[in-house]
Amino acid sequence: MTTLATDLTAPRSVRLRLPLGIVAGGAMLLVMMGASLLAPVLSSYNPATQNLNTMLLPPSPSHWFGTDNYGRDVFTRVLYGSAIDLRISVLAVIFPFVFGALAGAVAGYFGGWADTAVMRTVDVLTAVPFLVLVIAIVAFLGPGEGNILIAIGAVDWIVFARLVRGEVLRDKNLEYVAALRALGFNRWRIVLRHLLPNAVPPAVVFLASDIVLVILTTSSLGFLGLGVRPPAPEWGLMISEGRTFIYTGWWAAAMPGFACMYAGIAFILLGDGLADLLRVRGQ
Amino acid sequence: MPGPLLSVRNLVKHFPLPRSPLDVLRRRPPEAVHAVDGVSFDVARGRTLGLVGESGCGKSTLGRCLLRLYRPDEGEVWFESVDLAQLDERALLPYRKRMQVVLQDPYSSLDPRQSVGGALLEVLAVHRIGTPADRSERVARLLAQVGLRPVDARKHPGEFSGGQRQRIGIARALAVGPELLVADEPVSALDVSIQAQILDLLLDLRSSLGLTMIFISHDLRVVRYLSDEVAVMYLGKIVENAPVAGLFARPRHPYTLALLSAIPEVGDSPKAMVEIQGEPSSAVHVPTGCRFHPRCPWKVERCTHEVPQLRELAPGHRVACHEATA
Amino acid sequence: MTDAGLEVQHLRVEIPTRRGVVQAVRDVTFAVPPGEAVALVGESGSGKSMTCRAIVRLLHPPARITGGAIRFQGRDLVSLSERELEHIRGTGIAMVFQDPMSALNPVLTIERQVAEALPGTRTSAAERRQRVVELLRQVGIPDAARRLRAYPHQLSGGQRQRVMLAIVLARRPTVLLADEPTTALDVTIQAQILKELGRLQRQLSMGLVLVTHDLGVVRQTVHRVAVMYAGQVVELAPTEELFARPRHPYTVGLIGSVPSVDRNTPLTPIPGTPPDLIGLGDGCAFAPRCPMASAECLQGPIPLDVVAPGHWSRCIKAHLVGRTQSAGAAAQRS
Repeated sequence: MTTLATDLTAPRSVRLRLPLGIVAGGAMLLVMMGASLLAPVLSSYNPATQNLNTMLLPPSPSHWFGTDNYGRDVFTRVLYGSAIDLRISVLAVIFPFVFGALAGAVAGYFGGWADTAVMRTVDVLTAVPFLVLVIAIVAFLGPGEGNILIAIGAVDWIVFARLVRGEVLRDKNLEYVAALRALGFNRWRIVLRHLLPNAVPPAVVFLASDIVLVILTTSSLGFLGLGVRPPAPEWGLMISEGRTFIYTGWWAAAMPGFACMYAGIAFILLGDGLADLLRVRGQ
Repeated sequence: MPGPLLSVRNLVKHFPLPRSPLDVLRRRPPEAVHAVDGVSFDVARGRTLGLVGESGCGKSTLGRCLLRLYRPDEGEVWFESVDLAQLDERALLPYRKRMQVVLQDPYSSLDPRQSVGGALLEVLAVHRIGTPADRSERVARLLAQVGLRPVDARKHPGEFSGGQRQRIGIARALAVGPELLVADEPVSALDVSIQAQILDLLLDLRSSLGLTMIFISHDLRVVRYLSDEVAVMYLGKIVENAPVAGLFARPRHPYTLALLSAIPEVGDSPKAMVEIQGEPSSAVHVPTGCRFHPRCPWKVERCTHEVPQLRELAPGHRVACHEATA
Repeated sequence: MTDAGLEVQHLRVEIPTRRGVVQAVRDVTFAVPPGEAVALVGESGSGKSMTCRAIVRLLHPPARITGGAIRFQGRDLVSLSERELEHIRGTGIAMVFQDPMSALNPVLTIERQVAEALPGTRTSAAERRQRVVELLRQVGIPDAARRLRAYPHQLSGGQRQRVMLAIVLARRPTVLLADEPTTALDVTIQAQILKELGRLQRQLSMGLVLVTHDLGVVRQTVHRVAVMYAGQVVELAPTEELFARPRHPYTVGLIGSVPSVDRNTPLTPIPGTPPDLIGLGDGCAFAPRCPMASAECLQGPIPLDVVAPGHWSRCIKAHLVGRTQSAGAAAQRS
């Protein structure tokens, strides 16, 4: 009888062919992460050392991305900056995703007061443009990484809530929900262990683009002087500082911009791949 | 003689229609869909009641009220000696093991992300049936009972055909060992050849497990095949209730006659064609008196204002019609 | 089989997919003489709906016709251009679909939609309105004049289907393809609609192809029946003949799968499930489920052969059907 038990509990053989998105996006991300971790190895320059003799040098074999207006090596700064931007963007979306999905699922399934509470809050927060709200919160709390995380966490969850609520609203009329209720399943079990897992895949796909949004937001905040403080090599800050020299030294602003693009593409590919991966056999 | 397993008395379920503030201001009376409007019947242990009617007659709502997926507005649902109609969820839980449901749409009646084995194991776990050690075996046996194989447990619903999914749904319902099975159009969404397979499966299971069944369908042919007794519903009320042989041999309500003559039959049977015109009236504004009178070829004046009650015109054969005779 | 009717010969429709090429229609042959009604009976996957769509050339890409001919009024529709087809659709061959809610435009009134279908452009608005009321009355909509300004969602399923019929009949088509027109309707309404359909068909001498999965519906409405399985016509016969003397095991199985209101005889379900339409071989597609199958059945291709006047079957053991099968079924029951 052990064969029967192993039949049922053993996981099916893992699909060895991963979706292209995961492979491509994952590879790009790994490169980026590796680069940021190996920054001291990859570059001998110090990201903060100023050298007024080497200001605004164009890209060359000794300075791959050129130098900025303080003589700092742009490539090194982009490398060190990737750690900052990656860290912030990934951390910032965790709370919105988890809280938003839960709030949306509960609102969608239970309706009534729960739904009203969640959705009216969402409505209020939607009335103000995302960036404006985040800026307002950061301005209130003061600049710095932690405050960025708080600000984004407070605002960003509404998209996930709406997404998941929509899926749950539709799915709760499916017959299996009625069948499980007839089986006496607790409503929380139904919403958390059945409806939520089915509603989450679109939210996961959106998560990937949301990370990109957060990177841009962080960069915008840096640009406005409200985010990470100089002389940290955060990409947004670099773009902001390099902006004035766009005609004389375009690389100072453009290179961190390309880095943003690169990260964005990586995450979007990953999101697509995740969507494929999450699709259960037969769907 | 032991009493019936299930006894329904005067069951009522209305669905109020939403009112706009304007309606309140204009003092329009609140309206509702009269889905089930005073239904009573008994089902003896081991017997199968066929609940038949066309769309909008309230049969599905009635089924869901019996399973307490809806809470009835009025009336009693006696399961042996307990009235389930107004019990709260906690008190209801032990009864949920004793009555189960099989639903119509094989494509939405299973959680697509859960493996078949996982789903059955979950049911056993939630109801603490068996020990964790022997549950896998129980699952294998359940699958075999419905004509599937133990290896199917590892697959997901999307890998099965409609008929197979219905089998899984049946296995899930049987997992808790119910005494009463409510089947709401379990074969309507299936191809004819698969329908026959599932009907025979239900027949087998019924006799091997001694199930009491309420079989809801719009298809009289299928109802005939499985039922011992039949109740015909129209616009929220039962219009005729009789043992299956009697109903088909000597139908007495005009609507039953119309239903029977409308069935496209494969066998050669000359039937008296009773043609009714028009469509069922709205369930919101139900006709006064007999609800069928607008379409009835035999109506008389009395039918327009006096509601007919179910009267026993032959042993076990009850009809709600002023003009019907024994 | 005259020139004026519709003739389908050895039609093939394929749908390339990622998993492989789906052979939705593999060899369909039947004829609709003028003024006659033919039914295409089969379960899901039999290819009956695809056949209809192929006839009016309304297949969704990437599905396409890969073989055979469709003769209508002397021309082969498969080779016609889209322009030429537009002339034929509507007045030559018209189609009614299963779900009237999605076939009707939800934002236009009934009058608008029926009027749109009326031929001719030089009629006055009043004349057109008259004609619309005419048509609606013809299809059995009560109080037609008052219903003109109704929208589809305000009507019941049966009424919507009647409106569909009115739209289609506005052009007096020579042949009407009805794809499961009553499947979504209640049985009493279905009876009404089928009766209307039969009456209109006789009155207008219209050819009718009725696609359905319900054998009972077939018996009461059409002259000839084509039974389809896995993309092929497996039996073709006049209606009464088909039911009295079926000559294909699938037909027998189908008849035995439908419970009857009169007799309480056991059902004889067909075991197994329909085949995957990708990579089907040449042999008999029904063999895996057939009680009479043997090695020769797997060697194909098996043509549709005459087994009696006007009666065709694609079973190499057609002469044994009915006798051996009922013996087998009787053995099962005892």
